[in-house]
Amino acid sequence: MHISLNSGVSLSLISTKQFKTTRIAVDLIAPLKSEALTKHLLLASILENSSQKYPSQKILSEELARMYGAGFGVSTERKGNIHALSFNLECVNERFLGTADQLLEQGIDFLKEIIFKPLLAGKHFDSKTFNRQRQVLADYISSAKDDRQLFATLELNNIFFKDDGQACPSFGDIESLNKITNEELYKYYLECINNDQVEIIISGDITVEKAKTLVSNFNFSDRQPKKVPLFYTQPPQKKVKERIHHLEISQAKLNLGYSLPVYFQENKYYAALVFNDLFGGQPLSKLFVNVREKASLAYYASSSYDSFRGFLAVKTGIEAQNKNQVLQIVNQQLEELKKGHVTGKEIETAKRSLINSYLSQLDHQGVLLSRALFNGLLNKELQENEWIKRIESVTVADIAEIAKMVHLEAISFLDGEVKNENN
Amino acid sequence: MKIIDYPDFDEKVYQEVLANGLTVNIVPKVGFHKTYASFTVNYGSVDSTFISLNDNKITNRPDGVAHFLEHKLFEKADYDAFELFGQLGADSNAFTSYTKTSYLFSTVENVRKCIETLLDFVQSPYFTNDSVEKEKGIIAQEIMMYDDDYNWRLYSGIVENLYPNSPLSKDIAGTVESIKNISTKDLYECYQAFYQPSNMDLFVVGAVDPDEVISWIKENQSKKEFPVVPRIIHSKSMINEKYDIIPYRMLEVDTSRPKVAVGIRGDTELPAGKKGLKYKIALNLGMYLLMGESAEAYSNLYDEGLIDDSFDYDISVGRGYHFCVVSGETSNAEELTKRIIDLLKTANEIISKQTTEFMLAKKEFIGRQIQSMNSLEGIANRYEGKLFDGAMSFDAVKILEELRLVDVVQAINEFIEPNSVSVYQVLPKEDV
Repeated sequence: MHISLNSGVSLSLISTKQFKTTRIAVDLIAPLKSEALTKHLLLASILENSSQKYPSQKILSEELARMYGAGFGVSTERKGNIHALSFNLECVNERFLGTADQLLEQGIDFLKEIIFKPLLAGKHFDSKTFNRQRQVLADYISSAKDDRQLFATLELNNIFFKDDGQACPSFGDIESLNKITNEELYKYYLECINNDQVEIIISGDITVEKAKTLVSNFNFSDRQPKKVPLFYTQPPQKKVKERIHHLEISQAKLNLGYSLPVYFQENKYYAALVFNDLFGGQPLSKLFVNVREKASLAYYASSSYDSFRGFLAVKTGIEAQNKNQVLQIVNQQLEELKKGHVTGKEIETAKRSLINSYLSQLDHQGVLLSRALFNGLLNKELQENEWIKRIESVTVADIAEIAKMVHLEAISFLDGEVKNENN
Repeated sequence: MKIIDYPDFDEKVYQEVLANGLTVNIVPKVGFHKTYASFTVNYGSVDSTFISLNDNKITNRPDGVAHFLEHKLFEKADYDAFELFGQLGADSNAFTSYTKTSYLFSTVENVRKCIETLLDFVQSPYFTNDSVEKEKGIIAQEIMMYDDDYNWRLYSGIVENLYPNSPLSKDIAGTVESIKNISTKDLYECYQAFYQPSNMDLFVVGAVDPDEVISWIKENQSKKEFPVVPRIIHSKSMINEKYDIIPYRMLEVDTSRPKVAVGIRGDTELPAGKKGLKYKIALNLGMYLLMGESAEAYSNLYDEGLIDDSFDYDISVGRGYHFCVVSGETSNAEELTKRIIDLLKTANEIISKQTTEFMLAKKEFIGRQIQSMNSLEGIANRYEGKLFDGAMSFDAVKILEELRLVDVVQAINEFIEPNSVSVYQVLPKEDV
């Protein structure tokens, strides 16, 4: 249920007895800007670790412990053309604790402190907290490439996307981090809490009336948030761009980026889901079976589809010398799908797998919150049965049509000399 | 079926040991869509040494056999279990740890067929030379992938320091060299030695009716014959071996930040049954009071820039071993190592004073236990079978409620011995 509370501020409620916990998310949503990515992440770290009332990590953790180990986090998300600064809290339904404490009420008071009363020193954040969190973030950014799979993914992203906000990592970069001043960051945060679209989502054993009363405590002011198209699009790229890195690494990583201009919940969206599942979306897919099982060429080979950016990515971990052979096998799988060379059994398996994972996710409270957020933003909610029906009605011709829309545009290859130690 | 009721949490566990010795646990979850099942054999990577069924003598098998077996069990003469689950609309998977191998599925439909498929494919071994040879390439790639994961190298490095030359020091998947020696015969013999119903358990949790589920399982099991085999001899306790700890090693790699791991090896025998679970919980609470996010030491280390959010401690408890690994990325490996070791030395003194903090910690641990009951996987995967005398994760709340600070102090006191501590560091090359 999606309810408008005041201008630019909404509440989504998922009332359920399924879980032993109540979860609440407060999302501040704004159009994506590349220069704001790093600011967002730094804000999240500062706000997650301090507030006026809970000035140190120790005091803050103790408060969470007092609320029976309430889960709390501030995070950022980039999705299509928007990004969100998200405050999350999870507390146990007191029914299971035999306590008179009103944990959800306490949790909302806690979130209110965090969001509206950060730890300040005049017109900026507390300097010690700011400096420490900036260092933590700098360390994180500089060590991201130590994770080779992540590095390969980031590289592909960087080659594929034309827009800076999409091309750079969601956590931003060192250069922009170094430029952020404390005063400027606080000023930016004030803009976020005063102007950004506010989506509050609650899931748990709670009535609409109670949820409305509780969240009205936040007192978010009226606002006229800027509306941008949710989905990111870019013109097609004729020539394939390739970037190669030589690293000390035992397993080479070959990642491929394709455009697939079909977007979330469009008519063709369901066929695109089935296509991705058949291509490389799960372990029975063509990529997995042909690259890994039959040719024994890789430990992993999979594809993922980002329906908010019209982007299809393939990632593989292989031996460097097999690069061309892997490329050829991947391409061959796509050709097969273009020709509609796929058995009824394979399609049925793909559909069942999608439906299984869709329904299974209803058992995860966190997923419910995130689904409610995007349904709220799109202002449409698809019933479970309708979703299943649309998946089930996808045909071979629909899948072939999607395959024909898929175009290779970017290749990232992390090459490496073979190491001999410890083998 | 025995019913264990947990009215405080609206949960019930249905339990039965079948005629063939298989232990079955069923936990129905109202309101859930999914069903998750895990079929576990009490056999893992450390069990490479055992008494052979053929000649009754102690035999050694190549490292990585349990994991290799796990991979190969899915493949049959006329079908692939993984595919079969897929056609039923289910996800399936498997994992091997030091002392266990688990086969699992999750599904929203065809629950009966999925349970039967799980029982049937695990209980009908089929290995051919060709497929065993081919699998070697795939597993070698898996091992190489882990080689590039420096967090994994840090973890396996410290475990090897703590248990040098013991089966625990070996990688669960084996090495690229050791798996070359694995034969079809090894797989069959290990299978016959360990995959006996009495050495296994089946855990089903989710959208199910327990009476229905147990009848399906019984019907399936009653159709099968299991060979009568001698008692299972697991490899010896890693504690009694008294391997000398390697106090320090390091690895220089192409990484941007140093990583430190400090390991503590438990050198006393883990208390049997539910007391073992109590001991594990006490250790966890003790480590939390010592260096968890609310601890003074954590704040100091964090503010000084010696640790970041990657800092963590992990207590690992299994058949024949228990140890703790404290690890994190740091700007100064030497200083962080020193500070952790100093902290461990004064652990008792610090913890015994924390009366208020202890009460808060208990609240937090109880709340987190209840949160974890939202997860089907969490409920099933936390079940440790015989190790904790069949204790459920629901039992942990009561243990926590009854736990006293003296229990924690005593457990920590027993656990942390100066000679049982070791250090492993992964350092950037240019720094040295």
